[in-house]
Amino acid sequence: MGAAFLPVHGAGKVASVRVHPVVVFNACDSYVRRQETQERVIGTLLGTVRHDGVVEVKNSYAVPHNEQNGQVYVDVEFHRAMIDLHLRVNPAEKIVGWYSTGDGVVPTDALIHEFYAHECHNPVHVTLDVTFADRDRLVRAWVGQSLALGSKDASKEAEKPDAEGGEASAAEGILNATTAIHFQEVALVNTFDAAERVGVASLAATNADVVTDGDDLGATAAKLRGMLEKASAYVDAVVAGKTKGDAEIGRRLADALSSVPGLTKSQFEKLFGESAQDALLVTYLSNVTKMQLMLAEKLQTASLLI
Amino acid sequence: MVWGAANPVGKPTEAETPLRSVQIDGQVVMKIVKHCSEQAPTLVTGQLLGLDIGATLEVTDCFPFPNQDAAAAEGEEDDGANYQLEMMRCLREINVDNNTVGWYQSTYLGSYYTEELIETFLAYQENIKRCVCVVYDPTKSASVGTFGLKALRLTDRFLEIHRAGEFTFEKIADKSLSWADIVCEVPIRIANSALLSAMFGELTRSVASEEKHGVTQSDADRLAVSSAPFLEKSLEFLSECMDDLAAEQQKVAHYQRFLSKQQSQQAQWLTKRKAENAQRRAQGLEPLPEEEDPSNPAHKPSAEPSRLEGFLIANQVNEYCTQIQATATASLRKLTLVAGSQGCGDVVPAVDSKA
Repeated sequence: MGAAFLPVHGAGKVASVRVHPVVVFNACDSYVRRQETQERVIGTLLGTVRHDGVVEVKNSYAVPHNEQNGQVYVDVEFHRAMIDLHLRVNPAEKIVGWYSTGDGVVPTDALIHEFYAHECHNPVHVTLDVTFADRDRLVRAWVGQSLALGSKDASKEAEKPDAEGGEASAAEGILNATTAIHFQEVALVNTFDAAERVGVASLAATNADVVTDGDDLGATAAKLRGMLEKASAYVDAVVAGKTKGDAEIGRRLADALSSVPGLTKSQFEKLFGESAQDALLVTYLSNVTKMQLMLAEKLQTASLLI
Repeated sequence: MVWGAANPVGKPTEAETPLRSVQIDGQVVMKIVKHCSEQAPTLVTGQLLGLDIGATLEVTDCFPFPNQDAAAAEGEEDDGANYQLEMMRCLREINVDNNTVGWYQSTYLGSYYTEELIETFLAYQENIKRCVCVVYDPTKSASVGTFGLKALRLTDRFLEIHRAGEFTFEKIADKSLSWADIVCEVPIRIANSALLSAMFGELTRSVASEEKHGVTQSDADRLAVSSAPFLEKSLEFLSECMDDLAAEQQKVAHYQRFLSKQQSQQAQWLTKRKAENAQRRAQGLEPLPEEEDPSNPAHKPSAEPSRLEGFLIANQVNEYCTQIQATATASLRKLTLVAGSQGCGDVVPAVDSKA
């Protein structure tokens, strides 16, 4: 996710990849459940490709495979069966690529990638580093471009990006490959909206209770307070001339301030009173209803015992 | 919608140890959330897979069921069962625990107490001794900022009564079962593999450290002051439910009236018959039988209305009330917060809404 966006030449229209957390969950789970002899797991990614070239990866499933001496056996039948089943639940999610565990691209990836190129147009390859080699880039996305082995010219070699190391050719070591795949890294965004709703902290923990009736308003208010304090500290510093004011931040602050409704105290009191009364009335009503329910039960059973 | 009936792999376990908690993998939670909120407002269901270990039920995987409408359109009852078997077979190949432990379903504003729920429960329970139903409410997360996930199961007492047969007045009185004893909630715990925990910790590090205070989506949801639409809808549902409850009570009252009328009729008939017999005996004739005669309309037993419906509605009403109270309390607190931030803290009426 820390990867900078690289202009991708000739790699189709994939601009960036957005990965839903469920995919991370699924990949980790399948890695934990892999066969003893297996070194890594692969799986199919499902999702949609937006018009602006952003690939949304929304779902995934593991696919059994076997790697030996540069040969790869993917359980195609399993893959087909699973995709059929998935399409019945959600026809909008199509194959968009595949994932594997491991850091970066390895030679056999070319073969698998070629297989997925038959399954969909411009497959993306997402790698999930389970060895935590580079903590800032655990999940990476790649797009592949098929090259004829002979025409791999010097210009391609020269174009290897600098420090990002976002490019790797995986031609060597493939016994029967007639083509090579040129992998190029693309930007990857993790979307955690859904996970945040559950609570990232409780989800990431190895063992946690679910906070359903979250009494978290206090925590949220504290966060809000912290942010306000930070903002006011910044403003004070600028006013005092200690720091140079940033116009952009100033505009944002002005926006935020203008979104606060300017109410007089009596107006506010009226509003507040009304809302509070609504809430209290509703509470009262539901209490009465509950009481009614209990009463009905008591009376009913009492009369029925006769 | 009796999916459970098609499942042959129910592992019989000793029912002695009561189910204390449900342990759900983060993966399953995410899958449920994804499926339910993507398909909302359509209500969806899916199957939970996992292991039954002692007092804890571990849910380690799940898969969604295809939309029922679509399945119904194809007109294939077997289709669903086939899908289920095929999916289980596939999941077994990738070493997923393929042992059904229950199902999940989405709900709208907590309206899940239906006869369908009970039927599905019973269908599952035939094969699996201890199964749970995980209910997820996408509306709750979005509008209140709390996470609406619940695990439910039928109580043993209810099952006992149900196994004994009809859901009649006598039986319920016998076991002193109240509406609150049908379904009980099981506490949920979330569990993850160490790998996933580490991975997620790393990935969310930047999210968590962003702005130092780590403001998340649920924080924003939680601070939203407007709870009126949610309350309005809940109240609407509540009043509908109350109507249903009244109708149900009417039915019971009607039955009771009918019963007492019948009893007095029977008594009348009996005294008449006795008098007749006394006369006949005096005349030296064979007395007429004093047993009940089914051909007589006064003795015709009438079908007793099932109490299940009423119980479920009562549960539903209770659920709505709890929900409304929670929301109202939360919005009061938010109001207080707003008042505080507006510098009008003194207008706050001293209210203990929980009391």
